Amino acid sequence: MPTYFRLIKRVIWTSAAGLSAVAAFQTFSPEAPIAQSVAVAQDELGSTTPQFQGLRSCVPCHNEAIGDKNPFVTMSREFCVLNEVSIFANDKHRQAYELLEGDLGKHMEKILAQSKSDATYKVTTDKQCLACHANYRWKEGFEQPPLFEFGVTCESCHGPSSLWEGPHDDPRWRKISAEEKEQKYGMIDVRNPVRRAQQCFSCHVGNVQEGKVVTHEMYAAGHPPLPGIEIETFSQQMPTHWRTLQEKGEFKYREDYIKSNFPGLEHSPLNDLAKTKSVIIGGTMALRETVNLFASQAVDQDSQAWPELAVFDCSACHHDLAAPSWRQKRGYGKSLPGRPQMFAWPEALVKLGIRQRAGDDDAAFQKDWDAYHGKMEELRRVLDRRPFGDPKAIQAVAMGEDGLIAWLDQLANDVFKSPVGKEDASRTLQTLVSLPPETYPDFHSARQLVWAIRTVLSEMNTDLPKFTVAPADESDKQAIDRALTNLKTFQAWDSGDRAAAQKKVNDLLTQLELTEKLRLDLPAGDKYIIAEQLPESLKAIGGYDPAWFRTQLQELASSSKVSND
Amino acid sequence: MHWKMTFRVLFTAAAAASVAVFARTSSGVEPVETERLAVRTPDETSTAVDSALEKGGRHFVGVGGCSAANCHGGDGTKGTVGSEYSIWIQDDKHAEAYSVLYNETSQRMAKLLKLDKPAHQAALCLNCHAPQNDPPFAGDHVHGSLSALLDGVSCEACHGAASDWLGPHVRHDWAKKSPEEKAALGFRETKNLWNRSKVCADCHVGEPGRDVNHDLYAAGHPRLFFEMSAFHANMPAHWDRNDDRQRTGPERDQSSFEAKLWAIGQLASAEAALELLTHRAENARDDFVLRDSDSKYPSGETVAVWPEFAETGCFACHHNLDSPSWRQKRGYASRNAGGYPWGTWLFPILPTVVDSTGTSKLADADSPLAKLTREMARPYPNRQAVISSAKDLQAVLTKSAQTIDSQQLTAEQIAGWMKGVSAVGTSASQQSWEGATQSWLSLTAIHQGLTDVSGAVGQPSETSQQINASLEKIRSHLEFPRGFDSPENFSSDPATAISVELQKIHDILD
Repeated sequence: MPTYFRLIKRVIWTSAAGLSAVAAFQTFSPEAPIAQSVAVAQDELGSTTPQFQGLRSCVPCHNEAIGDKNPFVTMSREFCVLNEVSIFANDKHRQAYELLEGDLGKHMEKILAQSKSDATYKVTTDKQCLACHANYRWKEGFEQPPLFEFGVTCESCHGPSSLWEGPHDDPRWRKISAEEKEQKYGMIDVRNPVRRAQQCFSCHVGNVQEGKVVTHEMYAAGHPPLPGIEIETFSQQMPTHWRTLQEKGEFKYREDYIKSNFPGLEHSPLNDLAKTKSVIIGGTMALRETVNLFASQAVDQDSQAWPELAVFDCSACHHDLAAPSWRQKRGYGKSLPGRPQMFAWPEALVKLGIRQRAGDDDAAFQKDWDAYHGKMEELRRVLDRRPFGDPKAIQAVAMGEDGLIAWLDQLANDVFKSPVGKEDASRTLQTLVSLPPETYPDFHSARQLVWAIRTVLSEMNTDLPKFTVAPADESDKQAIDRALTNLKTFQAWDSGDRAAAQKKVNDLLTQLELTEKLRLDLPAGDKYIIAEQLPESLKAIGGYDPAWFRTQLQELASSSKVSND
Repeated sequence: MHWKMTFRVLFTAAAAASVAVFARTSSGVEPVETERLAVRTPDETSTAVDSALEKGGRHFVGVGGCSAANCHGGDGTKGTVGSEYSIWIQDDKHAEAYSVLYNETSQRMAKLLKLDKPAHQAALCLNCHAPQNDPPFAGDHVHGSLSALLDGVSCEACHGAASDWLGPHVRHDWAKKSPEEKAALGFRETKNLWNRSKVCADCHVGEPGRDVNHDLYAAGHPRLFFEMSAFHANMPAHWDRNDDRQRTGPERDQSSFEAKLWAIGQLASAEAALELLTHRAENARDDFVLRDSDSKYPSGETVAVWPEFAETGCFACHHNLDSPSWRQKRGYASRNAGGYPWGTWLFPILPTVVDSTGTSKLADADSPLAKLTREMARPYPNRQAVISSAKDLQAVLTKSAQTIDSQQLTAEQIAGWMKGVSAVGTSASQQSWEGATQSWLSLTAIHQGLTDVSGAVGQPSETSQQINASLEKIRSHLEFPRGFDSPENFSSDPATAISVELQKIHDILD
């Protein structure tokens, strides 16, 4: 590696991030073999606990303007574009903390102060708010970063960076296993769709262990309802500040990287349709995390905190009573009428995982499907024993050795290990558009289905870009040129082929009124303010008719664009 | 015919209007297919019934024992003594109580509740809809036959199973028997307004074994919104209402009957609700609530569900989520944000009645009512705490009713209630539709009582007309829109309009 290149980086670090980076870099000397360089990772003060450093430790390197052509950092661009912070500037996550200080935050603060009988109450210091709206961790031993103002930042998802900020820019970092990166250094493996889903859902669904829980009291005070999340749709709307493995082209140590970061795969993930795979895995993990939240809260029935109404389906109770009532006409399945229900949307995509694992083997699918239903029924049964269920029984069914969570974990990991090619995507699509008779998905489940269809269909219809392959004995100059060419190839493909495929699908969905009635477009960027859009969003939820959705989905299924591919 | 005039006024202002509010919500009025009735077989009544008959226990004799033309089957108009059966069979909804169990809603309910019998055979339904099946209030007897079931809620459902008193009650010495002697024969005395209210409340509020809970509502049962004075006025009278007036005097054309019935009805309904609440808290099982069609646990005890959502205001949860939200704008008063508003139907006006008797101060923060409200605001209330406060409150209510019953109400007392309700109603209306509706029903009844006791029946004064105009405005804000079984349009803004009218009434009385 040319020394001028490292030198430049060293200068940037020293001036911007201070000596800490240099110190860390030294423990991670390029001369020593990387994986064995430290038995226990340490920061410059000798601490072995990862700490949050705040956005400023990332900014110096990852803040290239979009389209910036600084040649000195091009080498790294073969792996990451280094404009992540610039993209993040338009990311809704950046506003997460500001929201607390805004009108809605103040409105909630007033109601919560009264509700908690605490006149000094502030949402900007409430750990329960900060856990999701800023980079706050409840875990013992964590010091808090100085800057909450930037909301949910790099380290919220990638993990506290004090131990890995130094080493992670060396290409040989790619050789370290994902597990070691997380266990030893604190870097979270967001390239693994299972881990990424877990990370997103920790706020977007909730996670008791991380102190990320939206309560019914918060909702009653004005917190917007958490919408059902489909991971690829939400990621795209962030917008994405990354390329998938398949979108990167060749990079240094790619084979080693794949081996150490995609463990247990018997096929090359380079051939996977990454987004389709992520949709399938996200669909399983959504239920996994929902059940985990549900069971983690069902600890003690005598506690003031139980039951937490916020984990039950809002619209099961919150609906105007219709006369005549479609709910009574529809019935309550195997449940008793009048009981709080779990959210339905996290179940909407689990079938995709089961289908993916079974492939074309219908008997295997049926067996798996029955096993899944058996576990869900068991959960519903203990939920039905009395309103809110029997907490101990819920825990046993969900968290037991042979419980639902373990079963879903297995499913997600099996899908992760399986190759997902175009045939699999096509099968996934068929599963998505074929609703069994007499099923009436609610608003949020309908969105899950259509969002998944949108992602899978676009990806199926887009061939990956052709990247320049590295010749043997490639010089540094050649490597820089190739990285730049590949980046341009990606960008042209992203705004060309891929955008065209997405537009086609979007036009179809718009034509079927699904885009508008299901409000498929998400709050992205500065213009779409969630609180301001709430009146329309809530009206859309209130006015949703499952029978209408069934018709539209059939229309979509019979559309040539779906059945031909 | 002053009293007739009075009733016309009452029907117009309160009763008919309440029908307007409730009628659209009622799904129990579907036409019954006569064919369906015709295909029933005699074995539909259980063998348990027959064996009870064989045992010779106290039992229902059925309307056939009452309906002879020269007994209660005369051909007089409403209110005519001697025509009770005829009035009931022609005009009274109670006569249809059993046949509605064959309609689509009832059949679907049985299916949704996963009962192993159809609605018209399930004790869960029959206990109210044809109580001759197994009346909990008679305890030691079980009786009924197919023809008796067909009667629905008939004479004996309210007056008591007649096998032991049918003979005695036509004897010349019946009138000389004490209430206790009559009760010993199974006769239920209904002249006393507390007793009368409790007879109605047995089904219309509920009691152990007659528990219309949230499971039943979700399956399709219409919500029980019972208010004694309005329901009493709506029922086609098979008795002479003049007798009621005479008894609550001083004169029958200066009677406080409507006010007294309202006050005692409020107390008795709430007391019945607390009895049911206690039953629910005492009998709920932590691990199992699936019921059989007799609403029993497998072990035989009557099923109770805990927590029971029917205890809570329906429309606190049952509303589409909206933004901006008038509920958030209004705030949650003393309740936690997101906590449960308990007892919004039967309890918001109650402190006005109780506190006027000097029995207790329910409006205080440490009263049993306040304690109960706080505990029930939790999603999973502590059952022991609930039972304890409910029992304390029951005692207070019974004592208040005795005080009121023993009094000859004066115009000042009645006007005091009216002022009290118009004041309390302002906050109750802002909290819920139930609070607003209860205020309106109460004011309508008390206003009638006030008019009556002043001897101004049929010649409403100017202020009385103003009050009626305000009440009519309030009513117009309470109606459910078409296609809805909930007050979709109700919000704190119309509630503010309601508050304005309540204030007007308050000012008029000042």
